[in-house]
Amino acid sequence: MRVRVKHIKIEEAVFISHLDLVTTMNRALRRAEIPFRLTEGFNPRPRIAYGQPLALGAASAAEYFDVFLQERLDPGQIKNMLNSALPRSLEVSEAREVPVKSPSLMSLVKAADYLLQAQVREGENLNVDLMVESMLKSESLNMENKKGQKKDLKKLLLKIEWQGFSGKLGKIRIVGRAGSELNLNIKDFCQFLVSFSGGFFQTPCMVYRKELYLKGQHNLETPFGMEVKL
Amino acid sequence: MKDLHYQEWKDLYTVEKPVRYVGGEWNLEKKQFDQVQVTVAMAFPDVYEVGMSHLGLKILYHLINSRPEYACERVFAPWPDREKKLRDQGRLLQTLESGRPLKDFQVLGFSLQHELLYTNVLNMLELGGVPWRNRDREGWPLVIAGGPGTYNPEPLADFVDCFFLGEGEEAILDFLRVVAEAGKNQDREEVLQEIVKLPGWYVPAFYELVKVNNFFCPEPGKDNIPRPVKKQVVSSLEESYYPHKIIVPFTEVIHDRISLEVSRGCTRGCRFCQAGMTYRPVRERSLETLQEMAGELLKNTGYDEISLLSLSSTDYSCIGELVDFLLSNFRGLGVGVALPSLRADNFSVQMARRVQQVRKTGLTFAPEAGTQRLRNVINKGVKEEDLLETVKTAFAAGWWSVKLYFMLGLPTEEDEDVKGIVELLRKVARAGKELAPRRPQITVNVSTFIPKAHTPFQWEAFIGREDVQRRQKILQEGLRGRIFRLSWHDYNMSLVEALLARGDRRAGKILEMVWQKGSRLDSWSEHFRPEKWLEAIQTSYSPELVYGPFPTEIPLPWSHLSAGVSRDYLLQERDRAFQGCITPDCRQGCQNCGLCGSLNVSMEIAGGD
Repeated sequence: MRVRVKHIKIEEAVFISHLDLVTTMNRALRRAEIPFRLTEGFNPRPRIAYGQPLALGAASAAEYFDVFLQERLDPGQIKNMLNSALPRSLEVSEAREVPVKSPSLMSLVKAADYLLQAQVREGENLNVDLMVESMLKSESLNMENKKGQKKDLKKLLLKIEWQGFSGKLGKIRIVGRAGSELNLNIKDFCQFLVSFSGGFFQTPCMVYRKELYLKGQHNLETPFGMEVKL
Repeated sequence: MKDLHYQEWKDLYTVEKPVRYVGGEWNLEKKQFDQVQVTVAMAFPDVYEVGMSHLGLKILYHLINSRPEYACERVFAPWPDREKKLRDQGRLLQTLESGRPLKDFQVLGFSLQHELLYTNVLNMLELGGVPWRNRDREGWPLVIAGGPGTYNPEPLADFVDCFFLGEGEEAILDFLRVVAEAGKNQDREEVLQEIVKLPGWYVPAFYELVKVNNFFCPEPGKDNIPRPVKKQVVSSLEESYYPHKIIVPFTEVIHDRISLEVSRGCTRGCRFCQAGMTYRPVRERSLETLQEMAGELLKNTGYDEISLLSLSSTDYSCIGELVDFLLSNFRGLGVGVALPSLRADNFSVQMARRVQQVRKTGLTFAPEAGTQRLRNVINKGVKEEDLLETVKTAFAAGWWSVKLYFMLGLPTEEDEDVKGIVELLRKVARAGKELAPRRPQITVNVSTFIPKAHTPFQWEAFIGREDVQRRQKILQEGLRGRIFRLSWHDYNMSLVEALLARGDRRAGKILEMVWQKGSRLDSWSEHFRPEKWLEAIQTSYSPELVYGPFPTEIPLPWSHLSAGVSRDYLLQERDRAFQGCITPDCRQGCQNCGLCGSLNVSMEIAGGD
């Protein structure tokens, strides 16, 4: 049996690296006594596969992994069992069965929905609506990241939505391409935002991943199969 | 920690490994302060990843919290980037559970694992808002310390209020009861007077320093102050407390597994080893108890590896049955079993073969010396034929990676002995080339011998820089090639360890001086500043106090403390060392070290003997 688990990553857990998150989940699966299958080979581990790694420091409402089980269990029960073995910062919000033979979760990921919050420079104003409009109109959005790589983020952005100020923080929603083929590195976008705004927005940006999107039959869909219209 | 506010998040995001400072781990214990009688902050004076590998801290943490009347929280040393942020923002060092600064606790306890952590102790006191000199403190917190460092506590005796010698599981609760009772009047002096009545506690405030020959030695300043202060042990390990739910870090730490303490104490009597002398007597847990503990711990933590913890695992009476039990019950879940450093004999290799069916790692042995003569001096009598037989068996069984520990600077060591290490390792390499499944890798780890308090070698010399350099060169030149990986402990770090391991109160002045000049995290090579230490020793200390040797007639800075083993025994073992005589394992017959009588305890062996 194959079960897809959705969980949050908030509060203290935002500072767990992806690698440590996998280890943490492995331990939770053991504590919950979930009958997982083990990987073969030298170093047997629970057979789980995450969708898309999240950068350290980012929060998430939607972390997904698939786990392969040795026996059938009710997914609702799996959710409860896991939650009895996880701190609230990593709570499982939902678990559903998916066909064992379906492609790997990682290969299906196509986009991710983020909410960014960045501090703005004191005593300055910027017409952010105008800035976002010009981002949308530009043919290319070039930037050079810290590793010296030159990137054009235009084709990696599916949506940009300015959501206004909250005190000294500006909020922007973006939907970026994600996955093995085209992938928007959210840190790259944050850096781009800072320079495109002329330093009005400041690093570091606090990132919150709201959802992952998979390749669906016609459009994008959530990992649990709900169609999405951006 | 609720929903992170941007500023809070940013402070953590912009330092290295923020997970060190956030807490929130599984099996964490957080209590309401207004509902408890005594609040305790348990401080491990190194960073999170090191402290959270330490079993003792976890045992005490859960033990204290198991009582509704006490609360215990954790704090670790901040990395310099975090420390800078705290200082710049005028914030104090705080615990992980509730974010309270250290000064707000009634008891602040430090685990003194080794001397290179001592500057972190001072630093954490100051950063926590606590006056670092004990005479400057009024009221709470009481600063206490335990662990191996208490066997010569003098360098920290101006900074710690009370040292506890020995095993804390039973004593800590007695201590907290006294603090709760005597502390009602908030009178520091009153509380200290009650604490000094408890066995095993050294309270420097009640002693006066008297200069005798080379050293300043503490003498009781009034009546009814104990001399010697005797280390305390739990009489039965089988009966003693062990948490079934242990806190599990989110992040990778140095030892990421369950440490199953099978026994405490060691009967081998290696003459350089402070742990062997101070953790006596041997007490083992029964097979049944260990089986139950293993099951409970795996269930409550979710770890996939169990390590059998003791000073000499393959000496445990029921080791075969325990290993079989763990493998048959847990292998199906992908849980591995790890054995730390092994005795160099075939039995150990056979044990290792069984456990490494799940996950194969390297094998570690600790011959310590390169010639039979020197091994006999230190009472680590393993014969060369046996060691070679053992590694041959290991290679033939499929291992290609072995690690061997040696020491430089042991008493009576000559260059010949170091050449002996080279010859021995070459033989190991030859065996490996012949028998191992692929090109062998022989890792050689060479540390520097530090004469430690309460061992037969406590009077001996600490090796000089030139001798060490010459001997390291012998090793380097003799062990060329890709098969060997040679590494050694930095000599300057060893020098600082020797300074603090055998120094009196004056070494504490050097410690304070060097810390105030910015030293901390000395066990980390990227932060260790040898020039600060060397300058301080040169200008304000007598190097002879570091190097020794010392005449055996004079009192030492730790003569007012007793690890239970008699002085006569130490002298006798010293004599036997110089004669090259082996002293057998006391499981085979009492060697009259005096410990069992002095502490009113005895060996506790599982499965009868």
